[in-house]
Amino acid sequence: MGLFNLTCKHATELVEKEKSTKMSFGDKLKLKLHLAVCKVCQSYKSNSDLMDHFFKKNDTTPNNVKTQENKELKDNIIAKINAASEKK
Amino acid sequence: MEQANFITNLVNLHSDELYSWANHKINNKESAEDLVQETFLSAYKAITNLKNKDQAKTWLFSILNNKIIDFYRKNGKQKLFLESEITSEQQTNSLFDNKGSWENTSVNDLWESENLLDNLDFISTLKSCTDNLPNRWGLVITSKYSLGKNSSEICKEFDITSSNYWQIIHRAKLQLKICVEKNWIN
Repeated sequence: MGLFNLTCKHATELVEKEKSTKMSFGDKLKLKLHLAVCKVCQSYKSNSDLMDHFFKKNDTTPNNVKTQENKELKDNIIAKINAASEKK
Repeated sequence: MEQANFITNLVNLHSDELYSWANHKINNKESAEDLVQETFLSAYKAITNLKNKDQAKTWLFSILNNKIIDFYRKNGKQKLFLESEITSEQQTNSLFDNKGSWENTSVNDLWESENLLDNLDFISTLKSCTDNLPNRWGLVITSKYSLGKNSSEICKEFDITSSNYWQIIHRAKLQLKICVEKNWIN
């Protein structure tokens, strides 16, 4: 296993591994060397950083799911809450 | 009574959105309704936890997302998770050849644009791609970034190992890359 013996698939996995947990010195070095010479993996890393920023900044609470009305559910919940508040 | 009024108001404002999201995630009308109902009842009991009233919607969604995670855990997660994950995994695997090198070695220049995160079209594309990730992958991302859970909590909740965890993040990001490149017209 030489220092450059790292596939792009594995290199991009290591990008995420490094962010989430402790990684061995050997793996860190291999990843660094790979990123130094591989443009596409560099681009993956910058995309990955960008997505991290996006997830942190934007609540991943959905707003792109089409809203369906459900009046019956609404009425049921309100009735339940009113019942619970009367018990208090 | 004041608390009940406050929650009732939130039901009127947000129950349709919560219901639509739950239904999108678990694809079952009755269970989605149950989860939304439980969400509001939990919210009512825990109303003092809501410090900032402007964040009520986010707060409700975080309660609902926890309930969706629970739902998966209780209902034989394998079966429910598997199908969409297999399809997505095939897609992300096809980015690489059988030696593990990129199939496509040119970098899509949409990622080179400056200040992408200020671009509203880009944001909304990435957001809708995130909404369409396989359920468990999306929930792992929500747990990590929006609910601020740490990796050991997440591994425990989803019953996955720490390598499963970063592999899921890896696949989810590859899937988002595919989805954004396909759907965003700069």
